[in-house]
Amino acid sequence: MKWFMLLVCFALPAYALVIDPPLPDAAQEQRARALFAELRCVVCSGESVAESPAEVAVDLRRVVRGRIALGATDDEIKHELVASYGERVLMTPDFSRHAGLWLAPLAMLLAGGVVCWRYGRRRRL
Amino acid sequence: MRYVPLLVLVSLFVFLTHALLREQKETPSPLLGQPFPSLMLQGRPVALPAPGKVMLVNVFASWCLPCAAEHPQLMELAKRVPILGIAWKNKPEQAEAFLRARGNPFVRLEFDERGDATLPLSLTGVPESFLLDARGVVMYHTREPITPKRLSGEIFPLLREHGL
Repeated sequence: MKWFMLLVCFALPAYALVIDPPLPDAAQEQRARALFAELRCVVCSGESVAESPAEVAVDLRRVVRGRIALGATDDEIKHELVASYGERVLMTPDFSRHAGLWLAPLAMLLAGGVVCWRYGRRRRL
Repeated sequence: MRYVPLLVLVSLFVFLTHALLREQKETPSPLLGQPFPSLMLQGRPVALPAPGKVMLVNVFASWCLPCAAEHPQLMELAKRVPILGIAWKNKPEQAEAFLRARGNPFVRLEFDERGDATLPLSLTGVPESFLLDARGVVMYHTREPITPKRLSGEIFPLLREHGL
């Protein structure tokens, strides 16, 4: 019994992905899984659809697999999901719409560099 | 002057923390101002039960505790507007037993055992409710249970605006 409980502990994390049936076509299933990782589970902030056991994530996985089986492209599927949940359903924000967000770290690094440079110079004087 | 870098760091920290926490609020609803989507549930199209009238659509499940908590408010609302109920990821007999035990506020009950309504209704869970105007356009969408406070503070004022 002790060993069984131990086994159960190890079995739980795999549960989420085991319950939904994969696509029969291996290449399509691969595409679906790649797409799951790019979609945010909207109720669990920070978790992707690939790893979430939430009901919504189960549905989104089914929808994505269904669309892929019908021949939709990744972009078409993403567009449909953005229309339903807004842009936050995407794990990586779109560059052209959020250039400021993408460039902010670079700008901060630059600003930091400038500060270091100026402070460094002053100390030498 | 010595404290400028520290000040910059602290303000950055405050700003980022604020942004991080704000992000965790509810997902905005893309349905607001849009016509209520047509749904296919259990393989059948769903027709709105009261065309031309202000009505409420409530998505619930018998296994959902907040749904039980909002139920008295739905019974209250049923006196003023027709309500379409959608039992989400729920066996029909379980949803029906839930309504038998607590009273049935719905003019019509639809079943969605698989979760086909999730994407079209932008659902993130249950309960969620939609208030439609007489043209069938979504004028209110909450991803939270209808508490007495939400009822008197948000929903009743909207109904009053529409002469109800």
